[in-house]
Amino acid sequence: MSDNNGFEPTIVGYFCNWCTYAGADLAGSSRLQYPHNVRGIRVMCSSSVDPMYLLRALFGGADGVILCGCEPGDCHYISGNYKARRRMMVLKTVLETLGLEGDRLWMRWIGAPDGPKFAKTMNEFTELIREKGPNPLGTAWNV
Amino acid sequence: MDMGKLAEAAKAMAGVVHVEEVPFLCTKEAVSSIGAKIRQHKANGAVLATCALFATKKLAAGIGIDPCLVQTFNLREEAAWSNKGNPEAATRKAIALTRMAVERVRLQEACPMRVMDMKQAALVIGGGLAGMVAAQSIADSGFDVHLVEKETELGGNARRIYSTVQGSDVQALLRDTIEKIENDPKIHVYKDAEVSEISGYAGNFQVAFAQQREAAKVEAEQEAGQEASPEKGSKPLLEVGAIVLATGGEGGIPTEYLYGKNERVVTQEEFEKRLFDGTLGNVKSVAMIQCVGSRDEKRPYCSRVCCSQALKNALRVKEMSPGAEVVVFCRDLMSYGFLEQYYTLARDKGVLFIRYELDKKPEVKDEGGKLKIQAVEPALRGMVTVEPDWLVLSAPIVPNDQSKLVEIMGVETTEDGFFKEAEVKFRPVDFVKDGIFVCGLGHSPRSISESIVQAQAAGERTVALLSRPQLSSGRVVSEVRERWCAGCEMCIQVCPYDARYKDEERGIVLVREALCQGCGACVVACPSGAARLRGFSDTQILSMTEVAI
Repeated sequence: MSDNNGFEPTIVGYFCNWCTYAGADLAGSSRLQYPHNVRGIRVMCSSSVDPMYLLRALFGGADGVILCGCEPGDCHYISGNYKARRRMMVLKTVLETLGLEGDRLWMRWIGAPDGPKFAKTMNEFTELIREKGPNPLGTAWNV
Repeated sequence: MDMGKLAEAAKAMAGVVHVEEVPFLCTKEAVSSIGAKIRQHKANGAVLATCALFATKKLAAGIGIDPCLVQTFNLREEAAWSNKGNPEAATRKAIALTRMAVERVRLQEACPMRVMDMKQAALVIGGGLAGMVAAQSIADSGFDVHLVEKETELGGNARRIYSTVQGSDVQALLRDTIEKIENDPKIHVYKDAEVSEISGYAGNFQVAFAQQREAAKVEAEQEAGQEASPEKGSKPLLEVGAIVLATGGEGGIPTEYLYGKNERVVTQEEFEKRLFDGTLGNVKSVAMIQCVGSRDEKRPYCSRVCCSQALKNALRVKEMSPGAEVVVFCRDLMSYGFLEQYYTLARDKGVLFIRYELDKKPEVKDEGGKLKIQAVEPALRGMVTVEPDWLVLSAPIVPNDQSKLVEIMGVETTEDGFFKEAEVKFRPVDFVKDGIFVCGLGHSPRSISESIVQAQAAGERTVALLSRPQLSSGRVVSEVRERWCAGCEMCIQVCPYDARYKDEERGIVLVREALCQGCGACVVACPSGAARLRGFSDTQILSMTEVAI
């Protein structure tokens, strides 16, 4: 099933209540197949996801972390997704500056009617992480 | 999916006292039996591993404990249906998701709803037709309305409109409306007044306004050495639950085509007045130019009503003197909806429509007091010359200066200076800020009937808000750990709803729970961890993250 010695990644997703979580619902009820590796956590808005949560997940051994919010201009809370985007840009830059893998952290916009995009994104991300192999932080660090 | 395995795993999870497979959770019997089980086991939380969230939200409310202590998640969609060929993986994912939900509910605190009083009265700013219609529709539902108009009489722009293109009598409509407004005991009209301060939030606004002439009179009296009674100079204060902004707009003043230099160059509005009060005299030839100061770089929007206004006046000229020559220079004639019939009618009656391009505008010259217009006629591909008695310009509609209201109310405007609604399709007359609504020309250029419809909508939205005796907060709202708050106000900056404010005396920030929509932006912005979102606290999310891994 995998190229990387049967490695099954663990992926933590933070999904906004109004768009992406509903999109995940739709993906499931449309019987779209996406990897079981993704564990979604429902949050009210992508802007309520503290970068610390994402870091904790990475340092705690998650192989990939994905934050999803509403499409630009469609945020239920007007501008929450933009706030989240800024934080993510900073966080990724910080990670890369420290020599850590910024691409284990994704941010994507997935709207409530976008079940197919949800499934596609989750497949792509899982595939990427599967190729990359286990997150070294998970074993080297234990925060 | 192996439900037995899931149940077994769930039993072993921290804090779980009872696990049960319920075949039809959606039935009333099932819901009440869950309630009974919870009481029997003295549980203080429940996890429903079910289907799509929207379908199960209501179930939680029926169980009989605080609904925020019940967690539902979409086991069916996320685990079962998305992993059809792989039951083992589906079961593994189901166990992980259940463990996460158990963590969330284990760390959940009860979140009671807070209620706030509702001031059951409304303020309407602007006594034009839109403002009056909004006020009337609110008063008709039995609420007190305070109508503040900056001019000395009601009516706004409608006072200068005599008829619509369909032929209805605007002045009669205006008279009826004003009469009803002034005789309605529920509507309190303040003319010659301007709002100076607004504070508060939905359900609880305090409004101060100054009556210009009153104030001037008091000053004059004081100067004359008379003693003014103390309350005369003070600003009246109103307490209202909702505000409608109907501040209106006006016809812009053209700067082109010799307007203001030749007295025979007038705007459509001025021309209409002459048509109706009989001061026009005998007309032989009229020219009109459309989109004057509209749809250019400075003002990119279409003013929407000028084309039908031009059709109306052109038809009126033709009616008064059928032999008169009427030429309309236009870019696109926007006779939208059923107005097309008046365009057809005008052409039937011999009105000429000549199209011009933005880079080849008609040229207007004053030759010894006589007007001369030269323009390219695209069909003839040559120049045409018209020497009209009157040149009528279609001026744009510009919003009244709203900068002061924008500043004191924190509402938004578009690039063009019009008020901006929260969402064009779903909340077309609401502002993002709760409890404030919009209608009339202050929002966008629109015809009388369109203004009335919008004003009624704004009135109804206001009534929907006011008819709640109390304003209750959502269950997911943010809160402040007061001892941790340093009063840095970062959360106030990020809050899109104005739901946080500084208590200057105590130096900390507090939450207006009725305004909080629960986005949690403040939680992340807070550098000291004092801001929390109920039901989505740090400890919950982190512990869910932990068990997810």
